[in-house]
Amino acid sequence: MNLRRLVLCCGLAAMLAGCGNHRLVLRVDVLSFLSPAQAGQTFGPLPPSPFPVTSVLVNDLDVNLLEGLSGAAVVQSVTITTRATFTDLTGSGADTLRVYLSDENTDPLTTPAALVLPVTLSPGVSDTVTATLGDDPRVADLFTKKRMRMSITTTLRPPASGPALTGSRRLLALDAVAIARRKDF
Amino acid sequence: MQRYWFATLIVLLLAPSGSARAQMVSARRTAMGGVILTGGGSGFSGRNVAYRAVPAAPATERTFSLPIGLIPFLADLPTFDSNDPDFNVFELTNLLYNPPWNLPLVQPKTPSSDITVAVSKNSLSADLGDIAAIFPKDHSRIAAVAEAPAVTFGAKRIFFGLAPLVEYDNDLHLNDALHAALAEGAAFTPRTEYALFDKAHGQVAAGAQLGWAAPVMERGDPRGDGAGLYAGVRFKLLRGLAYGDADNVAVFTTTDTLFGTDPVDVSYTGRMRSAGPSDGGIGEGFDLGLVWLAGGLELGVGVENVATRIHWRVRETLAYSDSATGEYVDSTLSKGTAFTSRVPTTVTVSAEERIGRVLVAADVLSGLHQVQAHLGAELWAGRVAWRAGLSNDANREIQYAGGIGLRMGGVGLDLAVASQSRNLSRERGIDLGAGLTFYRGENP
Repeated sequence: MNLRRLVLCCGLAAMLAGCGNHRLVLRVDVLSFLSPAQAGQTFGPLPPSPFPVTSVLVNDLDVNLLEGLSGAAVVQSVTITTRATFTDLTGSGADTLRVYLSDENTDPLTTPAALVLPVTLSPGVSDTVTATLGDDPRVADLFTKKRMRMSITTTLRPPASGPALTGSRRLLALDAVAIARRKDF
Repeated sequence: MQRYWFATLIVLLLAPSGSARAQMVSARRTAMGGVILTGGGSGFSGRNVAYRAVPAAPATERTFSLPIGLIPFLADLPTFDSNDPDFNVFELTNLLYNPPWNLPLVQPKTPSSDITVAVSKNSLSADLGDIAAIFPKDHSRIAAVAEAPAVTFGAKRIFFGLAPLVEYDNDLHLNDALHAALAEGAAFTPRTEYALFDKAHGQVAAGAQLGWAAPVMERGDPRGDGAGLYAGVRFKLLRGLAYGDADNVAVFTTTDTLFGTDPVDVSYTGRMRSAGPSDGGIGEGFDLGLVWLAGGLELGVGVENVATRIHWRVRETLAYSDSATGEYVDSTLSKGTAFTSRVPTTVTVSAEERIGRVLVAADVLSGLHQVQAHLGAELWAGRVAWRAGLSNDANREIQYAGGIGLRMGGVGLDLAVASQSRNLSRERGIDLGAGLTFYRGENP
């Protein structure tokens, strides 16, 4: 998966934004770039265990997000919002979704998670959880680059005892909103 | 950068054209819809050379427009510093369209809203806010021919003058798909070609003029019960000082998936010609004019820049995007190539007649991709003149005007209120103009 030339026409929009006293608001539906298998999975059965199980849902997605923007504007802030629904069929436990973002020279999984979405799983319960990242200078700085990389992992904590943990999760939204101002004319 | 902007602004403020120039000439004209008001004599020969031979009206006036808009403009100057958060090139561009000579009563809004771009794998849409209004459905054109007031010396029917010439033209056009995406916020769609075309040229020349204007026929008092036919011709010898043109095309075609694995390449091609003072050659052209006076009716036809050409030695360059490397390449195709530029012809038809106590004047100006018409009337009641007028502007919108004049002996004060849409987004504004008039004879 490669988000090539993602903001092809954002270059023109950025130029126009750069000509006036406006802000450029870039809304990216990141979820639409993920495959169905990356957006939703079933998990289990996970028998009782003290050891969490981590799996990579999105492995090192290459994002050419701001190719047309970086020259004309400065990214002021970036907000990332994720919403996911978790369904626990059997067993109890917990799941934690993590979004990692890094520059083009760094493996995203070696950086701190930019967004963490934890949820407690109870048998027969379906839960929708939302998490928002805002005002993280490190992430905002990434949006000033021409390329960045993204990975998403999930960490399941099996039940301590009782029935095995089975269920499913589905990403409902993964939106990034970058607000930029003119750098110079 | 700041000095560049300021210098550019000053130069263009000093050389406004068309209706923007009319507002700086006369508050009386502004109040009468910008209509051309003639009066005979050499001072009225700008658009119609035959007026040099037309006898001056018994009652004439000289008007001086007062720059009352400069006071608030200077008190609150826009920023020319591109690093200033308030810097807005659209505001500065609007100043070029409508120099701050008159006092704005209702000021058009300067494009200043945020731009929102929404992107998903198979969808891209851009809400440009106020800026969307700068993309008209058809061609967006800016064109003008400006000849500075000529310094003339005349002897009988022959005259000689000096007048530099500045001409420029820019034609921006988007194809339907790109226009819908930028101006209407329509989503970009797969397998669609988006294209932008821009043609621009500009030229500057020094000019010398040699002309003739004379009565062809006169019977009795042409400004009374008689009649008169007057003709004039003005030959121009030009020396090219600077020339530049560019023909730019940018095209991209979306694939099956807007942001799939296949990159979308923007194809850009720009063909340019340029020449400096040392590359300028000699040019030539002429103006023609005809005026008919009979029974109080005055009709005039002026044709400017007939067969007007300037010869150059140009440098031709081609800029394009290299599909292999993705880089932009600028290559010189030729140097010293002979090229002849043209100065567009403009035609002005004017009419003026006094009907009872009302002076009615009208004109039609054709050329530079547009036809503009003005209609105005003036009624004197004692020492007060009541004026009204309307016009269709370069954007084909009807503009309205009105005003009064108060005469005290040989001096008068004029006030005019006029609508105008001389701005990027073509929003209507209302300006107040003022001027002083020095009268000779009875009320005009």
